[in-house]
Amino acid sequence: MQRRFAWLSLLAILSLALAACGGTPAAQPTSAPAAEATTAPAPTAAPTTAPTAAPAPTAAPTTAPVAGEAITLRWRTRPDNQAEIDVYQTISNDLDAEFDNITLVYEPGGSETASYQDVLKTELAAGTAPDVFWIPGTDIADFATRGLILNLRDLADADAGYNDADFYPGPMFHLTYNPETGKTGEALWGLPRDVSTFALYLNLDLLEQAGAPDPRELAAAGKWDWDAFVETAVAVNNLGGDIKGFGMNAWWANPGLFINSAGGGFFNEERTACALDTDESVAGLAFASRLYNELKVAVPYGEDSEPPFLAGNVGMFLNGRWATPGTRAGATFDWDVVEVPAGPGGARSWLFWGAYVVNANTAHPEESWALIRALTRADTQGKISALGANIPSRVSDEAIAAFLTFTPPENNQAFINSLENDPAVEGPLWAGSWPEFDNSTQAKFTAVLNGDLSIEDYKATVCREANLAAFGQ
Amino acid sequence: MATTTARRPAVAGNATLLARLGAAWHALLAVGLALGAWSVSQADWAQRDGLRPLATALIGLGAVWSVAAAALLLRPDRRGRLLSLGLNYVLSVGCLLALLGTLGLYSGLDIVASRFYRWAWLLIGVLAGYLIASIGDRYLHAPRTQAAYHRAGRWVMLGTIAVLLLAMGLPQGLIGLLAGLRQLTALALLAGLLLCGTAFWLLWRPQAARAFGAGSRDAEALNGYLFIGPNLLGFLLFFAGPLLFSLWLSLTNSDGFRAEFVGLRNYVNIFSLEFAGLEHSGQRASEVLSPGFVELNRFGTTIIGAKDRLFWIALWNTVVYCFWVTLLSVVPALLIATILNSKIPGMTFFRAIYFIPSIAGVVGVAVIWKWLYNSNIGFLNYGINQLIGVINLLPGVALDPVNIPWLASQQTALASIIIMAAWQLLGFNTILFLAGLQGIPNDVYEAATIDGASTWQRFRTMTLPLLAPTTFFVVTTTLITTLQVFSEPFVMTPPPGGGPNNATLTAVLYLYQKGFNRFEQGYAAAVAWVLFLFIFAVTLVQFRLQRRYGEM
Repeated sequence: MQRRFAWLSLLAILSLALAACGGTPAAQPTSAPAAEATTAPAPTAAPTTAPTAAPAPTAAPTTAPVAGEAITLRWRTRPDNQAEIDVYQTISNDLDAEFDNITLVYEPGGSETASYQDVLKTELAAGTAPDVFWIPGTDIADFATRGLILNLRDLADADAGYNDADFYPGPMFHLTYNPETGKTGEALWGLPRDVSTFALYLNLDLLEQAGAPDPRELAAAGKWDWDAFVETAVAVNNLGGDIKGFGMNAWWANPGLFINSAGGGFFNEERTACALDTDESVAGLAFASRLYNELKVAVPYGEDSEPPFLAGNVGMFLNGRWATPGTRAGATFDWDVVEVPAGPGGARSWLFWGAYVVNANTAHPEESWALIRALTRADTQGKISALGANIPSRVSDEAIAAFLTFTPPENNQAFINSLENDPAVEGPLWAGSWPEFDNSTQAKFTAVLNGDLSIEDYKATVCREANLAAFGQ
Repeated sequence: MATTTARRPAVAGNATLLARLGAAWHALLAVGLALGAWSVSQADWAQRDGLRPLATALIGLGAVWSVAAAALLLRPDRRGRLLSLGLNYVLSVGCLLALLGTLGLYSGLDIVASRFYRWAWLLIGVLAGYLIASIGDRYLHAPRTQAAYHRAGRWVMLGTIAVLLLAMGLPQGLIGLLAGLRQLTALALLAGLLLCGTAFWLLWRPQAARAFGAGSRDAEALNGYLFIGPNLLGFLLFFAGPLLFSLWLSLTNSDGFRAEFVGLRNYVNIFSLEFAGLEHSGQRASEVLSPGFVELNRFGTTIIGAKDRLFWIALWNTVVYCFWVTLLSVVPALLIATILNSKIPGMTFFRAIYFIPSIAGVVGVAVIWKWLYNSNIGFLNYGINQLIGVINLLPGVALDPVNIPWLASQQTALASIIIMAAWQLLGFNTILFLAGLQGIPNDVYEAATIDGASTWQRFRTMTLPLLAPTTFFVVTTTLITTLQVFSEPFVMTPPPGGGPNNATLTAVLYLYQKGFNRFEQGYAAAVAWVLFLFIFAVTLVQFRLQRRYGEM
C-alpha cells in the first residue's frame, strides 16, 4: 500500500512538473544585448528656458502594431497607491483592446520606498525585466550608457506622426542626448510620461488663524518672495504647540529649490562638475538653514512632513503635484496651493519628469515603441492627470486646460505658472554618477539643515566630496 | 573451486570491456569539455560578470577530471571508477537541471501554482473519495461491499486528481514538452543526460564494482555521497557557489552587466587611509590630504583621511549599533528570564508578552516605530510632553515641552534605532535564557540554600557559570544578527536609507546601496567579504573566550 502510495505521489509530482512545461510565461526579452556602454562626454548646454510657445496639437501615433504572430508586451510604472494602479490597469486594458496582435501585461512596480529602480536593475541583469518601463529623469543616463535601454531614434524617425517638439523641451533635451557625440537631438531614450513642478500646499485655516496674508494674493500681486514667505511661516509658527510654519521632505529637490531660487544650481553649465559651492548656491542653502536653525519654523529636516501637514499642524508644505491625491484624501482643513516664493534668482521651481523607456533586450522593439507612443497620447495622459498626481508631458493647450479642471486644489494654475517660470529641469548626469552625487550632497544638506555643519564648512567641502564621488575628480 | 576459476575470466573480461568503454567515453567527454571550455573562453555572453575565466576554468577542470578518469579506468583502477561515477553524476544532474530550464519548467512552476489555487476546490473530490472509502469500513461483515466501496472511493480520488491535473494544464504541458524537445539545445541536453546517466548506471552496478575490485568501503562511501548528493549539490549551487562567485566578483569592477578583473583594487580602496598633521585644528582637510582622500575624522592636530569614507562610517555605526543592541537585549533578557523563571501565577502570560515583538516582522515593527518617533505627531514626544505637563504641576517647576527629532537628528537617529532593535530582540533572548535556566537542576540551588548562600551569591556563582553555554549562544547570535543590520535603518530613514548625514548607515545597508543603487556589484561584494571577515573574527574571539571561560 505504501509502495503504491509512493508511486502515485511520484506520478503526481512528475505530472505537475510536466504541466509546468506547458506554462505560457510572459514574454522574455530575447534579442541581443544593446551596444557597449560608452563614456559619456559632456552635454553641449543645459536647458534653461521653459516652454512658453503656444502648444502644438497632439498627434496620434501612426506606428501600428505589427501584424502577424500574437505577442505579449510587459510594461511597468512606479505607482504610489492603489488608485494609480487601477488607472494604469484600465489604460493597459483599453490599449490592449486597441492593439490587434499585442497582449499587454501591466505590472505595477513597488513604490520609491520599495526600491523600484533597484528591483528593475536586478531584473535587467537577470534578463527578466519588462519590455517597457518607466524610470525617473535622473536615471536616464545611467540606464542609457550601460546599454540597458533602447535608442528609439530610428523608430521615431520612421514614425510620421511623431515629433520631439510635442513634449516639453526640458525633458526632451536629456531624452534626445547622444552621449557619443555630446549633442542633443540625436538620440531618443524614451518619451516623458508626465511632468510636475513644486508648489507650496497651504493650510488656509492655519494661515487665517495666524492672521497671515494669503500667499495666493501675494503671488498674484507679484509680492510672494522669500521675505513674505518667512513672515508667513513665522506667523503660523507663532500659533505655538505642535504647529509649524513650514515643512519639506528630505530629498535633493527640496534644498535644491532654494538653491535654484537664489540663482545657484547643482552643476556647472556643462553638467560636468558640482556648482553647489558658488555664492548663489550657498546663499540658497543658507536661507533654508535659517528657517530650520535660526527661526526654527520648520518640521525637522529628515522627518516626513506630509503626516503633520495632513494632521493640520503645518502651515505650508513644499511638494510636487504628486502630493495632491493624498491631500485630497487626507486633509480635513481648507487647503490650496501657491507658487514657490521668489528668491534673488526668481521663483525657480523644478521641472520633474520621468520617461517610458524600452528594454534594450526586448524582442519587440516596434511594438514597444507603439506602446509608449500610445501611453503618451493626450487622451491617455488626460486619464492619468485626472487622478491629480501629475501634469501631462505634452505641450498642449488642451492638456493644460484639462489639467486645470482637475480640482482641488483650486489654484492649479500655480503648477502651470511654475512650468512657465524658467524651472530647473530634473536631469540625468551623462558625465558622472547621479546616485553618488545625490548621496554625497544629501548628507551635506542634512547636516547643514540640522545645524550639524556650518555653512562655511559646507562651502569648503561639498563640491570636493561630490566631485570625487560623482565625477571621480 | 572450479566455479570460482570459471568466473574469474568473466569478471576480468567485464572489467576490460567496461574499462575500455568507460575510457573511450571519458576521452570523448574530455574532448567535448575541452572544446566547451575553449568556446566559452571566446563567447560574448561569458564576458558578463567576468564569468569567462571562471566558466572556462570550471569546464576545463571537468576535462582534466575526465582525462584522469579515462587513464585510471584503462588500468583498470577502482579510483577511475570513482572519478567516473562522480563526473557522470554531476553531469547528468547538470544536464537534467538545464534541460528542465530549457523546457520552461522553472518559469512554468509559477503558473502551475496559480492554476492550482484556481482549481484547488476540485480536491473536494479527494475528500469525497476518502469518505466513500470510509463508508466501506462499516461493512466489515460484507467483504464484497466493503471492497466495492473502497474501490469506488479510490477511483473517485484518482479521477479527481486526474481532472485536477488536466485542469492544471497537463495536456498543454505534454505539448510544451514535445515542442521544447524540438530545440537543438534541449535535444543535446537530453542526449547528455542519457549518455551520462547510462555511463553512471553501467559503472554503478555491483558487477562493475566487482570488476574494478571495489571493496565495501567504496560502496559505503558511494552510497553515502549519493545519499547526500541532492543536498550537497544544493549546497554547492545555492550557497558555496554564490559565495565563491561573490569572492570572484569582489576582484572585478562588475556593475551587474559587465566585469573586468581588477585584482585587489576594491579592497585597497576600502582600506586606504591617510594620516596627516594639521598646522591648526581648524585647517581644511583639502589642504593636507592627498587627492582622492576625504576627511574621516580628526583628533587635535591629526587628521584621518579615507578613500572610502562611507565604508568606515558604516562600519563604525555597525559596531556601535552591535555593541548597544547586544548589551541592551542580553543583560535585561537575563534579568527578565530570571524573574519569569520563578513560579509566580501568570508567568506564562508574561512569557508570551515578552516574546511577541520577536515574532513580528522587522519591517512592520520599524514602520510602527517610525511613526512613534515622529517629532510632531509621534506618541513618544506626546507622552514625554504629557509627563512634563504633570511635572509642571509641581510648584516652582516650569519645564518647556520637548520636540525631539528622534530620527531626523544625527545625534539621536542611531540611538533611536538601537532602542527599537533591542526591544525587539529582548523577547527572543529572554526565551533562550529561560530555556537555559530551566535546564539547571533545582537540587543544586537547594544545596546552596542549605549551605547559606544568598540569592545574589546563588545567581553569581551558580546561575551565571551554569548558564555560560546559553549566554555564549545568545551573545553570538545577537552579535551576528546585529552586525548584519539592514532593515531598520532602510525602513526608518528616508530613501535610500542611512540618514541623517550617514548617521544610521550600516555596513550591509552600504553594500546594498553600492550594489543596487549605484551598479557597483564588484565593490559591494568586496564590502561583503570584509564584513564577513569581521564577523568571523568577532565570532572567533568569542569562541576563544568561551573556551577559556569554560575551563575556569
